[in-house]
Amino acid sequence: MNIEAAYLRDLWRLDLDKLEAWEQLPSYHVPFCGLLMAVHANKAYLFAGRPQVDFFDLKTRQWGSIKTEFKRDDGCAGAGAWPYPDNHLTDYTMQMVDGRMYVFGGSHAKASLGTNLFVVLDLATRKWTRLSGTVLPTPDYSCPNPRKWPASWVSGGRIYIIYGVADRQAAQMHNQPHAASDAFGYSDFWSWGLTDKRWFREIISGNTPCPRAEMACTYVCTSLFLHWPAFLRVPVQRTTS
Amino acid sequence: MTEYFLECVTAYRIASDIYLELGNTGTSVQRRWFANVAANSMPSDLDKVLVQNVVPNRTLNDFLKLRHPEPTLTAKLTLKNENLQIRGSWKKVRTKKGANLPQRMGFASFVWNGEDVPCPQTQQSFIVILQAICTLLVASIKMLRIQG
Repeated sequence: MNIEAAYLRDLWRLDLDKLEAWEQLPSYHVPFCGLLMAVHANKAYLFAGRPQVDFFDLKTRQWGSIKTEFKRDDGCAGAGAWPYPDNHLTDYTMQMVDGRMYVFGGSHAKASLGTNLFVVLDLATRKWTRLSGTVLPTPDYSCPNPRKWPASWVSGGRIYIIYGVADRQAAQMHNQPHAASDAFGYSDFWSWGLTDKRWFREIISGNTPCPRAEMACTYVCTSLFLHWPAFLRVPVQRTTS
Repeated sequence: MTEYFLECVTAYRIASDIYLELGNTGTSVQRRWFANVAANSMPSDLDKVLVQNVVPNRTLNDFLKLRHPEPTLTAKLTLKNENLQIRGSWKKVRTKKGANLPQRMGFASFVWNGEDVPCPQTQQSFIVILQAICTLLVASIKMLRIQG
């Protein structure tokens, strides 16, 4: 039995004021795992790594989709090549800011380790722009390194990214570069300036949460809450922090 | 070079001890693990034993066995520093009509303040949740059902 046969595609709603019962909404058309949704203008957008971006209309309660294209890196007219192999991306982090959907990291068929590609979709023009990083894992000290399952949030004109994991075991399993018998859990913390469009390596101080990946994360009134280290891995290769 | 490793490993050891005192078992274990890996990975021409004595391998398991939070330590936890220790507490939320949502992990979720919420004063009204994948547990249940 393929594990993907156990994946779900159902959608549910809970009124947080009443806390009565979960209400089932129309299901997505295919089962999936490791994707995220972000809301803009009463639509919840679901990104699966393909040019067609699906959304759930929260007013009409119907699924729909938009077609998007990638801007060329050289600034010339016309669509650029779609970056994600096999039109597939999972385990990324995503934030919506003023109608722009930012996607960082994740894994795809040729980067089981994780990628550090950082892109943004302008929902008004339906065009993607590459901001930093590469599709295939490449070391780059000017931005967060390739990873899966980091946490992110938005505050004060910056997108913050913390922790995550370089899944070297998965790379080994798929005979890809940078493989090892264990994963590497990141302990770093970065922010992206929405205005100056640059990464900045932040410093974590105080009683810090343990590095982790695939965690729940929410940002409320200047406090960050991290929970559930479902993928907590203690790196064994070398010290970095 | 031995001095370099000694300084690094000592810093990790001290950090690990401080986090443990604060009840932050997760970061304590991570710092201690980094210290032991660094000490054990030293080049052979350096004084490895000197550095390993700072973080003896025989005591590493005491850290790795900790849970987060560790039940045996939680009751003894005291406030050491108001600014550094966790504030607030957990409360389990239950839906009034019981749990009717299948178990899962790896799902998408978001909170949406719908305009058609009956009580506009209380804005946190709408959570639309969940897509996605179920757990291996559910997978195994499905398999059992098929076999059965």
